[in-house]
Amino acid sequence: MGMEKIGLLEIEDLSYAYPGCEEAALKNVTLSVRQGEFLLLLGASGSGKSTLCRAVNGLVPHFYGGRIEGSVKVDGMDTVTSTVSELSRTVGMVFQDPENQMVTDSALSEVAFGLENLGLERLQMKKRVEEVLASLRLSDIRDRSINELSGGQQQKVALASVLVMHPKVLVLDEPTSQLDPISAEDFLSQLKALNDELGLIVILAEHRVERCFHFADRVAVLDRGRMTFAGEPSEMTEWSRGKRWVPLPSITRLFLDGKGIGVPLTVKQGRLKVAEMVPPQVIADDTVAPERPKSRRKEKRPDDRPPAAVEVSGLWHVYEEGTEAVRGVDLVIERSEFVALIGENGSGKTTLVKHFNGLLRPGKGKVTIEGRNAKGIEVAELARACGMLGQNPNLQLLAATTQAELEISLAAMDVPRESWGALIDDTLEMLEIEEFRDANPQDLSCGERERVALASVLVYRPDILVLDEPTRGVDQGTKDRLAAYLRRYNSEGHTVILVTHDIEFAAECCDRVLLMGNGQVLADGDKHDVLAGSLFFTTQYNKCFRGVADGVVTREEASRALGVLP
Amino acid sequence: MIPAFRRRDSFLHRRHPASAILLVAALVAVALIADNPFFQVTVIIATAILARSAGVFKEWFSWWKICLIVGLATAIINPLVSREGATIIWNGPTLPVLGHLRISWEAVAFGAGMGLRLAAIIWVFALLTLTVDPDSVLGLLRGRGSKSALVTALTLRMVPTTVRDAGDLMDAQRSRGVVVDSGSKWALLKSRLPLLKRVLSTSLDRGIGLAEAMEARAYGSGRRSRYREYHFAVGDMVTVVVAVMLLGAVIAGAASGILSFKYYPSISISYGPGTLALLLSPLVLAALLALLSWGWRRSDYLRLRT
Repeated sequence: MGMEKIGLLEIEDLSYAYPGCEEAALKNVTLSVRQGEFLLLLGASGSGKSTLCRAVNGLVPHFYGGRIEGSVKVDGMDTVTSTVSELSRTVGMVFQDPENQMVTDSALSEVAFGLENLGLERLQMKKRVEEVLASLRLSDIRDRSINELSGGQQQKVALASVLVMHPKVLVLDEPTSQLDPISAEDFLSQLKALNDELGLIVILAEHRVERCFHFADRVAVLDRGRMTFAGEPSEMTEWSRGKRWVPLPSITRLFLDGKGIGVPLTVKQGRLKVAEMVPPQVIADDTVAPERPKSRRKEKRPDDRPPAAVEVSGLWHVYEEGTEAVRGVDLVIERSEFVALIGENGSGKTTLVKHFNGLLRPGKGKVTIEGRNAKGIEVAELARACGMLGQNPNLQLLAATTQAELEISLAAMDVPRESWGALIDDTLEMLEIEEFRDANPQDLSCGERERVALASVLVYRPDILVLDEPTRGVDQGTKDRLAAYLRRYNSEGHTVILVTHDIEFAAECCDRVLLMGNGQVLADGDKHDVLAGSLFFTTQYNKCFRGVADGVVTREEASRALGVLP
Repeated sequence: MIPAFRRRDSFLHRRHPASAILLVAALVAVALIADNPFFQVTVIIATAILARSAGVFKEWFSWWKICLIVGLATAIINPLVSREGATIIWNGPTLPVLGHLRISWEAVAFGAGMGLRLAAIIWVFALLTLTVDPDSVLGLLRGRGSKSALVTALTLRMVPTTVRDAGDLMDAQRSRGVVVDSGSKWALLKSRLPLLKRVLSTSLDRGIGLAEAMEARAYGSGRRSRYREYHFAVGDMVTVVVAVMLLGAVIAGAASGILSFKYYPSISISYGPGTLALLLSPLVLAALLALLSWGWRRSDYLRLRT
């Protein structure tokens, strides 16, 4: 009998419950990871991904306490009997929010921090630090203050600061959830290079599968604490067939609908597959997107039309430190439109929308909301017409229960108390959060909190709803539900404006897309025109169907193009 | 937003943290010892010269708002509460708490002098903030002290994050119509208490995240080593000598009475042969360091040896 190769990381029948929790966060998880493997950890919010990551480096149970059964062995060390410090030489961990893991003030000091804790000699430290800074291309920013670095740079410093300790296992808990697509791509590519060149085990917990599925040697899926799948990415497609929701890249999910084998896992494979399946002629845009509206940008606005939801003319905004965030933007958003603002970090998207409810005031130019000049009108007054949900739902939520949270908004809007009950009931029902009516929002999962925060704005039915990055750090299931709520709200005649990096989400929800860059609107029009005309700011579907059916940007259109749907 | 430390290639930025702290301590001490308001003015100008030589004048000057608010508040409050001074310029009504308002010229001058002194001290600390790396101060301390210094450094690092969280929280609430920045004091207090609670809980969450990250990088596993090396160079020696000379001169001047400036009961200035020299001493010493800094930037010889 041949000797079975033992993994560097062995998790056996692991169950764990946080202190004070009845239900276990991990239930009988068994997993073996061999040296050099890239393991992608998938699952919905609250499925136990973060807990499993923390079990690998000993933070669970040493930092959190709780009840643990089974065992986790890393390079022969039992994580229960070894300390986190001992394990830190073998397991390096990068957390979700780069800001919450930076201890010192400069990139160089941050990278050296772990080595100082290990008590290494200065010469040895210098060698390791310089090597890591050079390999991650951080040498130029070594002396910069952490607060001056972009999110992507901060996350790379975090990676460098664990890599410098020469770990054998790198664990990353949603490291790109706070990054824009370009920074995320850069970060993950470097991670893959480290995995290839150094033979490190990489365990990556992620929601945005499009970004990293093609890097994985193996995929593990968690569902409410149980491991429901562990295998190669290609095996996962077979396992996924017939399941309602699976964490797969959009292009892979598209082909799961059809019959036959050879489901593509990457855009490249998808493109080849499309070329195989689609007859060798270009499909007309109106075949795949018959409902496609005409671009409204060039049309002259008739005088008898009611005032637009938002009208911006010649808007400039310069921040105190001199950054020109918005530079001469002209824009009209009509009532009942569903618009997405896309573009890289710092392109001016958030600055622009903050003018819609008066959080920022124009340096130059004019902003009109439903025909009223926003100048001089208080934010609280503008909020009646334009409700806005910021990037962090935690900052929206103040009350001890969901119901009380919604009542704060209604009281602020002077809504007569006798109609509160009906409004709250409708909103809770629409967002499917009736069961959390009496729950403390802080006790809910990330996706549930996002819905409560959205409810706190939707409850008073603002004519214009602005959402800033609503899909950051949320799983696919939550995104699908959010898309459905927003479409419903829009269909009731409300204007919805979405600021997002999530192009797939924007394409599924919106009709019109504005691409921003360098403080200006670079492209504005129907989503098909803007996305199909962009190389990078477009969906996986469009990338696959380019040259065959250029108008394809959504899943439905892609299915139609393949002839899967009638 | 208050500008924070940024690494730069200047003589002051490259000082050993101990010598930089000593220079700042000397400037603060002389501002406290000397009562003469003209001396406070020269301390401010000397600090400006040093900031200019380190290339941080703009950032240093941006503290003017804080200096003005603190200085003006002191200048206004003192005449209202002080009952000293011989030259009465206004005999006002009797008010609750404040009593009979009797404003003297000397009390106004004393308030202005104290305001100027506070402004000088704030600007000196601004120079410290802009030119001395907080990590290097942390690195100076070992053992028990290093833990306290780490806590201080972490707190300082979290200040901008907490301020931003508070701003975002206010924006989030205003965006759904909650009035958080107007109304009566009671209404303001009532509307801001939940916000304060949320800022605190967010900070606590961040703190837990930070503790986790530190433990995952072996913090607390034993005796720490130190990455940065700080050499005490000739330039540091010059800085220390300058700081000690300034301090010595002002102490001597104060002891001999030639720097004396009395506000009450009426203003009297002592003037001796060395008064002008002492008043100008901060400027001369700052100019000396600025000259060295100028040479340091241009000469490899000076750069390598200081």
